[in-house]
Amino acid sequence: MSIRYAVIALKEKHVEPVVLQLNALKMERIAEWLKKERHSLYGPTMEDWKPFNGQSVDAFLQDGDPQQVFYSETELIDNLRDDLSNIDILVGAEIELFFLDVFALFSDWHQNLAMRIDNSVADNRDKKCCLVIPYNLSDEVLQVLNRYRQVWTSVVKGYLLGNFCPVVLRADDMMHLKKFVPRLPRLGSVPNLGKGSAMDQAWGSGQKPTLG
Amino acid sequence: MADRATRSLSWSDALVKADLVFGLRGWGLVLYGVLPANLALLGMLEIKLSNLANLLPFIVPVVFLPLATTFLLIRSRHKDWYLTTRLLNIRSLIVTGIIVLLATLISGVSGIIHGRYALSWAMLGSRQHLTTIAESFLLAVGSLVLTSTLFLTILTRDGNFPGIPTADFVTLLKDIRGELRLLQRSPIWSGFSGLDARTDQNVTSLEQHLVKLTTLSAHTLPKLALAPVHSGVNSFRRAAKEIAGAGNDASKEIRWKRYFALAANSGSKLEEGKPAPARTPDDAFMIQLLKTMPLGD
Repeated sequence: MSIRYAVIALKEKHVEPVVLQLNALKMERIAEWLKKERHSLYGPTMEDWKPFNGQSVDAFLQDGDPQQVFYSETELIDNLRDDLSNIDILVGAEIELFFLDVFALFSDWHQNLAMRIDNSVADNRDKKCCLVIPYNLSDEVLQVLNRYRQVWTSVVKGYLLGNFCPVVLRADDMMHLKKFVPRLPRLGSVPNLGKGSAMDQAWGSGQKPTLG
Repeated sequence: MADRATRSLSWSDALVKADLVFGLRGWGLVLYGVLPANLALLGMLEIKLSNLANLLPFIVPVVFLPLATTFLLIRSRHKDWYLTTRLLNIRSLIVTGIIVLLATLISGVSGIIHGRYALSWAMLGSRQHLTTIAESFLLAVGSLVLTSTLFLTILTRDGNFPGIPTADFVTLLKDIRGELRLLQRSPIWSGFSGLDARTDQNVTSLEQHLVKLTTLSAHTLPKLALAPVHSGVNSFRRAAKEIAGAGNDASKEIRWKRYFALAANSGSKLEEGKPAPARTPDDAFMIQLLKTMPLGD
C-alpha cells in the first residue's frame, strides 16, 4: 500500500513576494539567501522544489526504490487555483504525508491554503506533516549538525536506517516526543522485524549497537 | 561517452530511415526480382525495336501492366513486413524502380556480352542509345512477366528465404499491429475512466509480443525500428500505473491529462487553460506516438 504524500512549496513565481515579506519582517539575511538560491531551489511547479542538495522530494523518496512505497499527489496541490475555488479536488485524495517548505509560511497563497486544510491535516491521526528547513540556511546549525554526526556516529547511522532519534529543536518537539514515544514498540514487546532486517543488512554479523 | 551514444543514436536513426525509404529489411526482394533478367545472358530473351518513336504509344500500355502488378505485389509484402503504412507507397515505388533499373542494366550488359550492343561514350544520348535503353527496359519488364515464378512465390507466401523477413517475424508483427489497433481504439484516449481491464490485458499481450520479437535472431533493422514502440508501451504502462494508483478522480484526471492529453488532442491545438504535459514530455510524446501510428486497414 502506497503512502501518498504532497509537497506544499513555493513556485519560482512566489519567491519575489516572499523576499519582500521577509525584508519587511527584518529577516534580511534569510531574504538575501533565498534570493540567491531561488533558481536552485524552485521551478515552475511545486514538484520542482529541491531542498535536499539539488534533489527534489520526489527524487529523494523514489530514488532506487522499486517498490515505490511513496506516491506523490503534489500535482493536486499544484493544480489548485489562485483563489483556491477548486480545493474540493483534495477530497478523497488520501494524502497521509505533507512536506511543508519553510518559505511557504511567508506566502499569502500558501497561508490561505493552510487556513483551508490545517484542520483536516491536524484532526486525523493518520496524517503526518514535516516542515522542511534547508540545513544550509544557517552555517551555525550546519556546523552543529555535522558535529552531531561526528560524535554520535552510530546513532546518526541508525537514524538513517529509520530508527527513531529525531533532532529536537524547540520545546514543542519535546512535547511531541513525550506523546509519541509511548506509541513506539517497547522493550520486550513484539520486535520490529523490518527494522531488525535493516540493521542486519547495515551491520552484518558484527556487534549491533544496543540500548543500555 | 555521450558523443559515442549520440553518434550511435544518429546511426541507428539513419538506418531506420533508410530502411523505411529503401525497404532494406527485405533486400532479398530486389535480388529475387532482378534474378530473372539474367536469362537474357543465355540469349533466351531478345527484343528488337525498329522505330522507337512509332512504337512508343504501344510500349507504354504494354509495360504498365507488369509494372503495376509488380508494384502492387511489392506493396502488399511491404505492408506485412512493416508495422505502419508510413511511406509504404513511396517505398514500394522505390523498390519497384530499383528492380526495374537493375534488370534493365543486366539486360543491357547481356546485349553487350552477346555483341548486340557496343559500349561507346560517343553514342551517349544518341537515337541508337535511346533505342538500346528502351530495348533493355522492355526486356527487363518482360523478364518480370515471363520468368517470375520464384519472384511470385516469395511475394505471395510467408517463406523463410534469405534477405526476407521470416514467417515467424511476419506473424508476430501482425499480432503487434492488431494489438496496437485495439489500443488506438481503447476508451483511454477519451478519459481516465477508459483504463479498463481489456486495455490492460491488450497492453500486456502487446508487451509480450514485443519481447518475443526482440528474441528472434537477425531482424536487426525491424528491432531498431520497433524500439520507439517498446518505449511507448513502457510509457503507457507507467501512465496507467500512475492513474490507477491516484487517490481520487481529480488526481486521476490530472495524471491522465499529463500523459494522454497530448495524444487525445493530436491534430488539434490543446485547449486554452488545459495543462500540457510538463514533467514527463517524453512519456506523453511516446504515448502520442502509439495513438497516431498509421497502421492501415
